[in-house]
Amino acid sequence: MGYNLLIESMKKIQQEYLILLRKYESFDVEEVYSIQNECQIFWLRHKREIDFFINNYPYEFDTCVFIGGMYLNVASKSLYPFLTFGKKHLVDDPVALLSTNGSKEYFAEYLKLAIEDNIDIIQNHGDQVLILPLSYLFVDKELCEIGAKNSFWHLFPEEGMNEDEYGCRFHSLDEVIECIGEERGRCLFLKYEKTTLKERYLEHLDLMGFSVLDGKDGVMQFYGMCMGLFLQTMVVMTFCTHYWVFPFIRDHSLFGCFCLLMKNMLKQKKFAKLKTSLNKAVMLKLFYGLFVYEELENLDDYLKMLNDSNFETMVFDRMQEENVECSESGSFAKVNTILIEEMHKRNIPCVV
Amino acid sequence: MPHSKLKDHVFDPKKKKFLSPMNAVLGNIANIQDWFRERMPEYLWIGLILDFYDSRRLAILYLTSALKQITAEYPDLINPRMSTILAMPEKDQKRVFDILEQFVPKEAISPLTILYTFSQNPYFASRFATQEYDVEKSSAILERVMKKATAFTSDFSTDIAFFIVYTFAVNGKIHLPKNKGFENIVDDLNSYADADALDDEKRKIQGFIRCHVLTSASTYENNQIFLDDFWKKTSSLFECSSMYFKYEKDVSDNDVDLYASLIKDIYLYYREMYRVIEPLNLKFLVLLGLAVYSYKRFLEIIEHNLYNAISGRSIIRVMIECYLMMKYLLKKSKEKETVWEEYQFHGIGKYKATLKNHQENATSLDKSHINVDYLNLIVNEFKDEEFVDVDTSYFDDIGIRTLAIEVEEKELYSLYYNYDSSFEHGLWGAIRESSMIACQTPAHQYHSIPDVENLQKMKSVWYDAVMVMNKTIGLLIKEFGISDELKNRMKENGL
Repeated sequence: MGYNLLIESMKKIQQEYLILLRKYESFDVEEVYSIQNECQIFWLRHKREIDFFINNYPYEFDTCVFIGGMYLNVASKSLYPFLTFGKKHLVDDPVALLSTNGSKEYFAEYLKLAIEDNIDIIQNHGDQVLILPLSYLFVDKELCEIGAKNSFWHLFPEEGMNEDEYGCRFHSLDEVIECIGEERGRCLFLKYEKTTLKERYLEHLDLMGFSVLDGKDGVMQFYGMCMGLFLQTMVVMTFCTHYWVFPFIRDHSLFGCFCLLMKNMLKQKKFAKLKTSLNKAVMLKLFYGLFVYEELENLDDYLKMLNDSNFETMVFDRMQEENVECSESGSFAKVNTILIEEMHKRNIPCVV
Repeated sequence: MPHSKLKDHVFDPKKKKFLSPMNAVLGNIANIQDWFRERMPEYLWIGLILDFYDSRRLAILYLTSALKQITAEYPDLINPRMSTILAMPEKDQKRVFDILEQFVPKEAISPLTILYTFSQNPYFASRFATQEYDVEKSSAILERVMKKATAFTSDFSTDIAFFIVYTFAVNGKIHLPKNKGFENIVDDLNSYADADALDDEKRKIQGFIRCHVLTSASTYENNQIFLDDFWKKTSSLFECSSMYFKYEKDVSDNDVDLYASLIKDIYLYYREMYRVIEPLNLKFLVLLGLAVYSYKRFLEIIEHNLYNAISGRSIIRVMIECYLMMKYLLKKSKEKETVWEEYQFHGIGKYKATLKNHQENATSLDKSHINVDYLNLIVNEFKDEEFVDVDTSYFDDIGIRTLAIEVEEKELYSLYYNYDSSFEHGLWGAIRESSMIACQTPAHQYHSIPDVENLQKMKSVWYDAVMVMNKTIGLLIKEFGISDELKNRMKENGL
């Protein structure tokens, strides 16, 4: 491939960003917000170039984006699943977007890890992955908030639920959960192996370091937690559908909500072309669940094997041959079967 | 006989032109007599006899027999020109035509009586005029035979020329070295004559015949009075029969729209890339400037329907020039980084010359297309004009031809650019092709008629414009790359 100013301009920006990040490999907790501020300003200065880039770089769902998560965590070999699907790979810069309801110390710790991860990516994997402030600069926050609220109100069986109604009607967490019901709340807090919505929710709170609140406070706490999840989902959805890319989603809850909302969207014919985004997101998520990549040692060898054996093409072709559409029920099992068969053919470590 | 190649032409440094091989060898001799205008009228009577018979072999047999006998009695008729025959005393004319009529019926040359009429050629007219061959019939025959005898290289014209050579040969007036492939010229000529159709072997002799006719022409002076009289009479007998080309747009609107939309997106891509990523990159600006100028000229073809117009050709020329310059600047920039700025100021200098000319001569340009105020702004845009030089030569003091060779695009120059330059400079080739309608009447010597009604429409420039545009875009892609989406769209469009 010849010289491409589009890509080279981004690589140049990555190198400039690396110089900036290196300055913040260690910092005092007090400096945390100013550091994030400076990183955001760095991106703002390059907004026009990146805008041009993301409008021209992805093509027909050939780009996999890590968005909606915290940070990729390259040290834990997350590049193995991330690079398995897609021709191009973008990472939504966690440094630009990180926010937490927790303490400044907690935020500082997270920022430090995100910076470390960013440095690792740019230094060692700059040819394969580009870090860009995708959700920070290119997602309409207001739109996502509207979408997230609507999604939350649609969890309730009655039409016309809104903030006032919600605040007046419910007096405890139990009332809210009962009204939603297990079936409607199926997509919420999925990562916990608990059967009921309440159990899953409580475990989620526990993991986040929060204790459950009583009465009306508990009602609003539930609203806040769900809104966080739906907001993430809306960010992933709006970005992926606007730029025709597909997401690498690791979180079960986020994945569940993404699939649910995408399926709803795809019911409209005008969005039919976006089904590829869902198909590829599902393919990657299911692969991520099956793949035992922690044992692998050499990323280049792994990627070469994938390339030589046309892994992605074969999986995707088989999905098409077998008319697997992830917007239809029963499709996930079919994708799993295809993935397992293709993984076995190539001796890719698999949980099955 | 195949035409000579360009490489066979001989460069004459004094005349600064490439001489055709024939002109290089013969000098002015070959140009003295033009076959159709100056020689054919004298031998039209032979053409009429050849045309009279269905069998070429028989026609030649009868005529050679007659000519053998005629030249035996009248050696002056070794060159059997009509003007010579008609100038003979009546008794000699009578004898010549008596011999001729022993072999050929008089009807064969009766059509000539509408040219050589009783008032000027009483003997000829009274002998050959018949009721059957009236003016209308004779005119049609004359026109047909003249058409057949138009091209010197046609079989028919060569057959006429054969008799000139033949009479020379049988009278021992042609001497050739033995080793030149013609051991016995009379035998060869007899063999040439003795067939109804020509094979490859006989065609070889045609070259010799034509060559001999060309070279022997210088030994006989034209009978200009006869020729003038011939053309005056024939041209007044026939009406102009104009023929013009009316080529049309050779591509569908849909295909044009598809291509135009694709290249617009490509240029928008580069415009944004320049604006957003490299706003201060002079190389990018100059290359894109040249490419976009080419693109705007290309759009003119579409928007003003110039596919078959003269302007379309001018557009192709400038598109080629822009492309060649892009390549040249890229090549030059490897050894000279300042070439981009120099190119800009070379052009600005040209504008300064116009501006100064206007200011110093106080020419009123109020209603002119030259916008002096804007010129003034452009000239002084980045430098005060006091620091802008006026370069009267082409950029980098290099000609466009040398430039094309340097960037390995000689064919683009020598074929397309050269051709289109004729239109840009109003050279006769371009005038003839675009603004003159051909008259098909041989009696009018195929003169041209100015195309005032704007009837003539030339071949469309579309595919050549696309070819140059694709090259231009290819150069931008090579330098700056392109997005996968556009790359794919180009592929889908066969680019």
